Amino acid sequence: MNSIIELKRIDKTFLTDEVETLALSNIELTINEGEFVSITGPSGCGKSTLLSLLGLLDTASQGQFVLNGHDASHLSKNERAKIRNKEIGFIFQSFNLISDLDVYENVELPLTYRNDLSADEIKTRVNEALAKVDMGHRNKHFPSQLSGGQQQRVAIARALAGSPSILLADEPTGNLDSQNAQMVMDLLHELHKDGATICMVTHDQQCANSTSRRVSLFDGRIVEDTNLSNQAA
Amino acid sequence: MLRDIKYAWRLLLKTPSFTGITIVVMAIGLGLSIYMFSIVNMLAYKQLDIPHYDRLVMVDAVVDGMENQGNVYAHDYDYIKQRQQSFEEFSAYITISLSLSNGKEAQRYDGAFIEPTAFSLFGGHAHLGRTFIESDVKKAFVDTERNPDHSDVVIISYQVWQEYYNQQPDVIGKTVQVNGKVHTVIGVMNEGFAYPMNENVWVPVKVAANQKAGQGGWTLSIAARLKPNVSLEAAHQELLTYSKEITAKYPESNTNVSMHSRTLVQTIMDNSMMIVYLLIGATIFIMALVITNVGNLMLARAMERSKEVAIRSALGAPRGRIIRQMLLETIIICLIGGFFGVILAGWGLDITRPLFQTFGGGVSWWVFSLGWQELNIALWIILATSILTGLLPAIKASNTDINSALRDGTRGAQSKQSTKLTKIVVSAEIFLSCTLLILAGVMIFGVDDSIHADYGFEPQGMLTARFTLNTDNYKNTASRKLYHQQLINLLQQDPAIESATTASAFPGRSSGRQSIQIEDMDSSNKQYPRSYFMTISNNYFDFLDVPLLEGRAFSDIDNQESLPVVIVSASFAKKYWPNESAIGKRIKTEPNNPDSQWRTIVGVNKSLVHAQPFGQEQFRPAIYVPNNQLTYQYQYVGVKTSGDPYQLQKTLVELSAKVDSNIPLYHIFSLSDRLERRVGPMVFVSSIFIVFGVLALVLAVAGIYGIMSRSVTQRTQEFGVRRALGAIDTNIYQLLLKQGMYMLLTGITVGAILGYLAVSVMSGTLLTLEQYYFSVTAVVLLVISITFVAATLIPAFKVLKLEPNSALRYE
Repeated sequence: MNSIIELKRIDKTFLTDEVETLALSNIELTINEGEFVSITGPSGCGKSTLLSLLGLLDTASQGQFVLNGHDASHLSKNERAKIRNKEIGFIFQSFNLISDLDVYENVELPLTYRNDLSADEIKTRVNEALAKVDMGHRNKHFPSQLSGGQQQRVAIARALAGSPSILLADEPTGNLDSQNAQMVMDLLHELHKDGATICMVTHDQQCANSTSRRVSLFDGRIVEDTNLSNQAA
Repeated sequence: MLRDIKYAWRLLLKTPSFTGITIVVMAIGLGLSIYMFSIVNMLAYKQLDIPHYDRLVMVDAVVDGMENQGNVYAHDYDYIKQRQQSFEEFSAYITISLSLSNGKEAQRYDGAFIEPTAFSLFGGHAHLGRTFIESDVKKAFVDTERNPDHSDVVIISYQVWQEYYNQQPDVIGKTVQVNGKVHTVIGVMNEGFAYPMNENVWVPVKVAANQKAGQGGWTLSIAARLKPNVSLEAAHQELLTYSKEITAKYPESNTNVSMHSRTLVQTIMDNSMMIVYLLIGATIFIMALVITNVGNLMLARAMERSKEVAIRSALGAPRGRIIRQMLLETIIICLIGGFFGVILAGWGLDITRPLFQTFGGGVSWWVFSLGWQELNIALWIILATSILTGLLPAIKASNTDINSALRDGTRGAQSKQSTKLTKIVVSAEIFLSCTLLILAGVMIFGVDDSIHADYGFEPQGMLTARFTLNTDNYKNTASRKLYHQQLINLLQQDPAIESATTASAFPGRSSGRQSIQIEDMDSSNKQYPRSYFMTISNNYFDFLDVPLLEGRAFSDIDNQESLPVVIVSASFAKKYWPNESAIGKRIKTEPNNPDSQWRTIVGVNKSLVHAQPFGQEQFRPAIYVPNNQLTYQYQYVGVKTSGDPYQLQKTLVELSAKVDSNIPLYHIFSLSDRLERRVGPMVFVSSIFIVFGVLALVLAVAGIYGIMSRSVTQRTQEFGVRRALGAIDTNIYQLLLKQGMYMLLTGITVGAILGYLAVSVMSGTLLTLEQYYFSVTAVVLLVISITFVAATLIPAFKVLKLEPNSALRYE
């Protein structure tokens, strides 16, 4: 199985008011193509920090980051941005849709940062992504006109539109009621079934247990890495 | 309420830098507004302490569409007075310079020939003695006598009583020479009375019905009091009706002459009310900028406190209470700012006083201090500013969505409403500052032009003074001519004096505009063009070093027995004989006077400016008649030296006294100073606009940066999202500039258009400004655009220094 991301001896330290906080320590983690990985742990254990490093939203203080076989530890800001744009799709807890853009424009947004897609291609991809999450009929609506569940589906469509190597989801059901949360999880499982690689941070054990692999963190260290593929299936 | 005030005060003390900045901005804005209000009020709207002031109007002539030009003909005054129904009092006066002499000491004062009823109009009463009664005027004056003073009584001001008579209690009944004639002092006016303008000596006159109609002649100022139920407009219409009747009867003197009325205070503004409106407009713009800036700071502060407001609401605080509480902070800031603003305004008035005095001495109600009237209005300005500044932020903050504000993690991009508000505020800020900067820039260049205007000669080294040949010794041109010759000869014998001359006016002024008839030019409709008119001594152009372009100068052969001659300016010659020489042509001054003679043009001089060096007045033609053929009472003498002209002052006074000690010189100024005084008001306006311009620039830069910085910072999380989705820094910069371009273009377009309109209005009235519009606008737009781009990119640069991860979590 091909590895998409490899983290080798990763440390992440935050400096606040001259106090040094070790958020992640000696992280060794490989995410392979087609996996649905959940990262769990108590509040403050470093889940979201780990996801930020995985998504190149932040840089590690020490260690090596390998993406699709290439060392990505020392990339510039713009190089990291380009990789995020092409290889990584983000799904946030608070959806993070741009309120001034309508549904179509929100999904289109990451594609506008590329120079290798024609207008027709962009349009096709946006419509396909929206169709995949069943939000095509709301493409002219603004985020404020949608429910939380619908907003998260649009966010997923946005993450999918660029055909990324991996989807990173940070508590994707955290702001949703149980019915909408289930619907989002079902959607993620469906995408996984279709071959998507997903890494999801969650503190919901039931969600975590529904994935193919569960990584547990405690005090910035990986304390458990369990393959759940049989159960997930 | 007290609790809210204490809490607001505590919050302000908690954020000293915010409080300090807002108070400073407010103090500057309010100080400027209060200062400008005081100036504008003083110039145009002051409520004078005169009984029934609301019904007191001044009636002036409108000649060739220009207001306050030459006042009203005596005949016309009498015609209207006999017929009018709108006014309960209708009284004439003539302001004039009068000399008081007790045989030992002669002193010049601004004075007035005044009809007895005028005193009651201006609310004057005698401190000692009495005011005039009808029997004080021995004889009604008529046009042909050229001197309306037929009385032998005089009233003096409280100031003259103090200064000239040393407060002698028995001054009433004493005799004094007024312009060389013995008069008896019958009254001392109450302290502070100096009406109509700034007069200290009053001599009675009476305008009778036997004026020679249709011949122009003496002109008068008219003060009138409206009947209680008559509107100014109705009175104005009545005046126009009579003007038309007079014009129809006497087209030769009254074509293009009509009348208008306005308040006493506004008469002094002459044609300059547009400047007053412009100053008011500019002040409003500055205040709008201040309110926008401080309002924006208050809004930012209110938004930061949305959680506190939500908690208060959740605990049951009524919305009105929340608004009041937030508004109190603004009121405290404005009151403190207003306090310092009043001090600033008072200081500004102090430093303005000498500036005003340099251009005319002022009028009696030009008081450069803050009285109760000004302080009362200042308080209203402060309160209005508090409401305008604080209400919107308070309302917006009180309208917080309690649930979302109390909920953690309310992340997201700015709301659409907030973005729209930001766009409006930034566009407004840009257009306000653009308009002000354009106007200020253009005014500064225009005024600089007028200060350094080419009057057609170099005034350096010239000292001038006025004198009045009004004693019985100088009743005709021959005797006056003799005085002129003796004075010039004596002055030119002094080794320190290079040259000396006399004239009725030097450049920068004229002896008025005369109707001119041109031979062989159709004048059957009796409508004559007008030209500036001067009487001059033979060496006038030599003295000024102004070349004659054609013909010859005046000489001793030009006298009362010889051919009447005239020299015309090049602009006159070009206007009436564009394709041929003017030499030998004939013109007639006072064409309606049957005794007027044709004058032959013997010379054409390089054009001189005999009025303001800007606007349409600048280009009017002029004619010059030799003093040897026609000399007026009121004259100037000029002496020239290579050094400081004021070093000649003592010599000038002493030598003139040798010629005739009863003819004092007065208003002694260098010609450079005289010309500078002509543009003094413009220098003041320019100084004000420099202050406006600097303030507008500072407020615009600070305001635009403040708003854009807040707007960009508020979008930190949105930029985090965009960067998470793959946007590089350039994408964010491009996005901000693209979005900002709309605000920038809207602001500068509206600002440039408004600036153009303001410049056009000003240009048509006073200065020639339009030539500077495009260059100034280009610079202003560049400065504003650079400011805007910097204000957008600098905060964005700071935001983009954050890792996307931190940006996403930015609260």
